[in-house]
Amino acid sequence: MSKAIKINLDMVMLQRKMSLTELSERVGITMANLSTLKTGKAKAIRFSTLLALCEALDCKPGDLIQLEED
Amino acid sequence: MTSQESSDIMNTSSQLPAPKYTPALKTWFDFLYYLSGLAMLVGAGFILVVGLNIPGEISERHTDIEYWFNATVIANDVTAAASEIMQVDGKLKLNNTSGRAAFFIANTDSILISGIFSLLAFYNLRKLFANLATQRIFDLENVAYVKKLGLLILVYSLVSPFLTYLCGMAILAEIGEFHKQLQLSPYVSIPIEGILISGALLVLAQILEYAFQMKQEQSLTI
Repeated sequence: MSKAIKINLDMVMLQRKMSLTELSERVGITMANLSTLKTGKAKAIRFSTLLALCEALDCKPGDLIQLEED
Repeated sequence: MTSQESSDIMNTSSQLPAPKYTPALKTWFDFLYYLSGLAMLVGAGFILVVGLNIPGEISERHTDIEYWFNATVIANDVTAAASEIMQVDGKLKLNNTSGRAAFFIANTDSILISGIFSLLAFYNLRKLFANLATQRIFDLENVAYVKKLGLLILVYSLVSPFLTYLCGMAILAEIGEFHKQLQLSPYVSIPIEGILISGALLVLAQILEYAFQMKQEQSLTI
């Protein structure tokens, strides 16, 4: 059984009713990079990015990151 | 430079300074590539025209052959203190031989086989410099070019001594090993520098491959 880290950006954005464009403007990350995060293509996330996302979405890192088991 | 700074540089090629010498080197290797191709064509023409004009009658042949041999110069006087006056090795020019096949063998090895290796090496180098000129540095294509270049030099370094020996034997089988005061034998020398350079290039290819993987990971770090 393999485990993987999943970014729940989609769900948190939906809960906060925030669009990708708005989040991109608030956090200062390009739409392309946010899309990479959303689609799970990202290999890693910087603490600074995580902090900016948490501040913009008013959530905790644990809300964005989830351990997934296949 | 910290790893963060270096990875940032890798990630944004636009921040890299414009390449100074690579466009000029690319033009230079382009020139050498086309020159090698042209030299091979001219060489093949020369071998065919001159070789096919060598007379069939052995006594009428006066072929000049230039090839790699070991040569021993023997004293004319058998009572001399030293029977072997001098030993030389390297590319020797033998004038007025009766060789015909020897002419084809010597020139095919010297011009065509070396030419093919040069052509392939210059092809990889010009492709490599074309990528570097456009700032495509840590790229899988470059890894392949460096690896091919290394393998090419390794193969040539390992094959050429055997080829030179075999060609030398074949040439001597036709023209003979003894010529008055001159005794010839095939020349063998392993180009150790070629093996060292190819090893360094293969290691460099491996490093480039790791760098490419690091760059890919870096570009997917948000």
